[in-house]
Amino acid sequence: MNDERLLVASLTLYLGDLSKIVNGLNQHYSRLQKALDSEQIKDEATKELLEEVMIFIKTEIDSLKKTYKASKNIYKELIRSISNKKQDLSKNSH
Amino acid sequence: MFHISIFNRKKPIFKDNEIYLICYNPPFIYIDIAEKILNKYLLAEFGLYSFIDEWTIEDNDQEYKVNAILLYYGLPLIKHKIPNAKIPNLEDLKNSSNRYIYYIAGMYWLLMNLSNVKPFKIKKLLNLTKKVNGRPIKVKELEGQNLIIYPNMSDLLDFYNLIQRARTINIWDYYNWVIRQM
Repeated sequence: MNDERLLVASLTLYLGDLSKIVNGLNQHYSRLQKALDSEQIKDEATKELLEEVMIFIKTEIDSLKKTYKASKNIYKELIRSISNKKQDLSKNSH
Repeated sequence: MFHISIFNRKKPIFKDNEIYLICYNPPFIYIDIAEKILNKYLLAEFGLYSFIDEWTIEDNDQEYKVNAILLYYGLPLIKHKIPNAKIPNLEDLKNSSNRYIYYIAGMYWLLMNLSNVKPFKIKKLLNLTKKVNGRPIKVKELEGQNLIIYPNMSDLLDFYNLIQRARTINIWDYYNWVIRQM
């Protein structure tokens, strides 16, 4: 397997795991958001603590999403490049 | 009898120059010397020394003042609120409209601040949420507050693991793994 194909295989796994982490963090974020939006919390201290944690999680999610997007672009480029090379090879063989 | 009175003479149980750790997991409340529960490196790494406060405890119907770190189901609490700082504290916990949510937010806050600490060490901290040994005591400042909650540790551990993975995930680890499979 050449380097490009190795990278495609690695990126497939990497993107899958990035997506799992984002989903997991999103679940925690939504749970906290639900708690914040509920009528149960009336005091500022609890709200502020929740908000601080949510900002932290959101920052992590945004950073992971950026990495995901950039990696996905590399993945697409590699797929395109591999497919072009395949086409070239088949043209040459004809 | 004479020998009995000698044996009954009480040694000071709590020393002024010692830092204690109170595991406040109601209905179970235990105290021990902090460094006996977690070594000083872990106490420092978890930032627990900044939570030392003076607490009034009751041990065998005797009241004592001790310098201690109080962990409320693993969440360190200082006694009083510090203006403009979001540090978990007893004052805010008592006044919270939902103590369980305050606790959960506090634990997330703690774990996000400890995201550089190795996972096996974090497990040692989370294990203290169910610690039920040491010297049973009462903490006067927390008496009659109805602070029993039922925290879900697996949620907290899941959050910590996700943060860890978010920080450490690296394409080259996957690349090397793929190479090893060939």
